[in-house]
Amino acid sequence: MTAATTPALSDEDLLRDVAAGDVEALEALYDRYSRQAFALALRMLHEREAAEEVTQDAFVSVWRQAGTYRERSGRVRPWLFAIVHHRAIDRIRRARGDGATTALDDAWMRASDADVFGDAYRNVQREQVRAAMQALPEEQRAAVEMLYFGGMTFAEIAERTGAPAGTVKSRVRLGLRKLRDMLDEELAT
Amino acid sequence: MTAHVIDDLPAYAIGLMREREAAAVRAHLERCASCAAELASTRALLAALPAQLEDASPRADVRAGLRARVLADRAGIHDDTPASLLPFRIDPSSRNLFLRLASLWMLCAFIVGIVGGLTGWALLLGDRLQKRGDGANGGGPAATLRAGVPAVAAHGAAPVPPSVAASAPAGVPPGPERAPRAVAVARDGAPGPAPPGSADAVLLAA
Repeated sequence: MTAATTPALSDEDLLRDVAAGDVEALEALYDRYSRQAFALALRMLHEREAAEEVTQDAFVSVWRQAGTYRERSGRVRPWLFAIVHHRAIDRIRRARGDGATTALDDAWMRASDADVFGDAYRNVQREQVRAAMQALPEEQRAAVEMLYFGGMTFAEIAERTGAPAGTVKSRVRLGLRKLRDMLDEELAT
Repeated sequence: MTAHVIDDLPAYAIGLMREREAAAVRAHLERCASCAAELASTRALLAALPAQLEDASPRADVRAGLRARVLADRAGIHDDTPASLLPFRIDPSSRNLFLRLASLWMLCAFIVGIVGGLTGWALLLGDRLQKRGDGANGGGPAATLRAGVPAVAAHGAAPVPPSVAASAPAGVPPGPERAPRAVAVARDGAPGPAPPGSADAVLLAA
């Protein structure tokens, strides 16, 4: 593969080449998504070196698991972000001395199960997500962010906010529902 | 059917759940199409959240480290240590070679250590045998050691240097290079027999 041909290839094409042992294809995927992956890890870990390690680890996972990938258009990106996210959460939990995460090798993390990720939001834009998040009631937005970016359990969020765990669950559920409605509406227009 | 698990799905979707709790959710999902569909939707939505973040660039050596790791992986060396943790930079193409050389050096050091230890032990044992040989006055183990000298010499070993041959006592024929050591045994005093049960005693009895 040459650098000149790389931009024309889809994520799925690149992943197929990665599965065949093509290091340049992996680097092309890295060039395509490493800045977003690193931004996610940095947002969660607040530490540059740790975020870099998580980013690198995630792409090594892609390398090792690409052979089990079942092609479904639009699934590579959310699958990759899920790996980054889960690795970051695992790191957060270990730093807190808490193993309250399921193993990285859980079925839904494997490439063969990447079709569990819907592609409804594959074309969503940064400003659309940002605006939708800002439109959420403060308590719901904070609960969603503590869960997703902070890697906090419902019990930990409850302790942090002083709200009952059941209330925290409801805030997350309602927040995600409103977020979905807003994004669906945005994408429909 | 057990109660729906919709409230637990966000935590389940990102793996933020203890295994026992996750197992209960998983068991419900296998029987409940409604919750399974909700899970897929939740995952898709959560995967869209990073889109709000501004891109950020990792350092260039993260990419180089990734290449080094996958090349090592392809060569059959599974290294889960992030390459950026290495205290120095290794060219990706040479990392496999580096690991092999490091292993070779460790093997050489081990062999040198073993050989050195055996050599030291042999020298120490030789000195003790020499001292006992003097005390035995021509009999016993020292005599056994000396008895081997002519046999070795008779098989065409190197001749004894004149200076050594001249200093040898009567009755001791010239021998090979190792002969001077045996000759010297006959001149030195010996402390007596080895203590019963000692390594020397066992060896000498044999």
